[in-house]
Amino acid sequence: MDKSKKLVGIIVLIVFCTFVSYTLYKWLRFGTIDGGSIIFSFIALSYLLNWLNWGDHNGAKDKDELERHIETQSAKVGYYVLMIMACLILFISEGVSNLNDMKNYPLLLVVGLTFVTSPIIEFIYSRKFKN
Amino acid sequence: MKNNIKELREQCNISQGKLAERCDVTRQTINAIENNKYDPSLKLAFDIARVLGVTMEELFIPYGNGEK
Repeated sequence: MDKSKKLVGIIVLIVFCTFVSYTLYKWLRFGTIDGGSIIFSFIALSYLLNWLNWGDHNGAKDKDELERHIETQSAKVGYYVLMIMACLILFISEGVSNLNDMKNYPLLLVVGLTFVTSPIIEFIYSRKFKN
Repeated sequence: MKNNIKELREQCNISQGKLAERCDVTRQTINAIENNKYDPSLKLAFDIARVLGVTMEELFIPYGNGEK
């Protein structure tokens, strides 16, 4: 790995630590949760993970076929992980197990959409190969 | 799908890195194919066969009736 890539990685790590520290500080000191810094912490974390995986904060540029295969399989697994996490967050945040008692309708809608997004995209994509 | 890439590569005295370079992929890709962890695309399979100077039938061994 060349020096410039190492430097980018260090900068990304510092930015991530700064956002996380700021978020924790505001939460512990003032009892407020800063939505903006939480989002930016996740963006910085995604850069950091990309840098660890591919050596570049934006992901690998010229991927060969094994790397593309890894990316495709990871996207499929990631979709199901996200689906389970959305369900868990819904049930934990609402604190109820009965779907009819839930008040967070946007999150309920998101969970519902996770079930249909993949089949819809598969249906649209399959049109490409049909005469 | 099983393959004879490692044996044929060693017969040709070519390292994984060199084969990868000539096929325009990473060494990890060749290693994964040799260890039967990844089935290459048709293009890469033809590239490997061309570099090693063998036919596809010599390079790959299908399980049973060609099924995985």
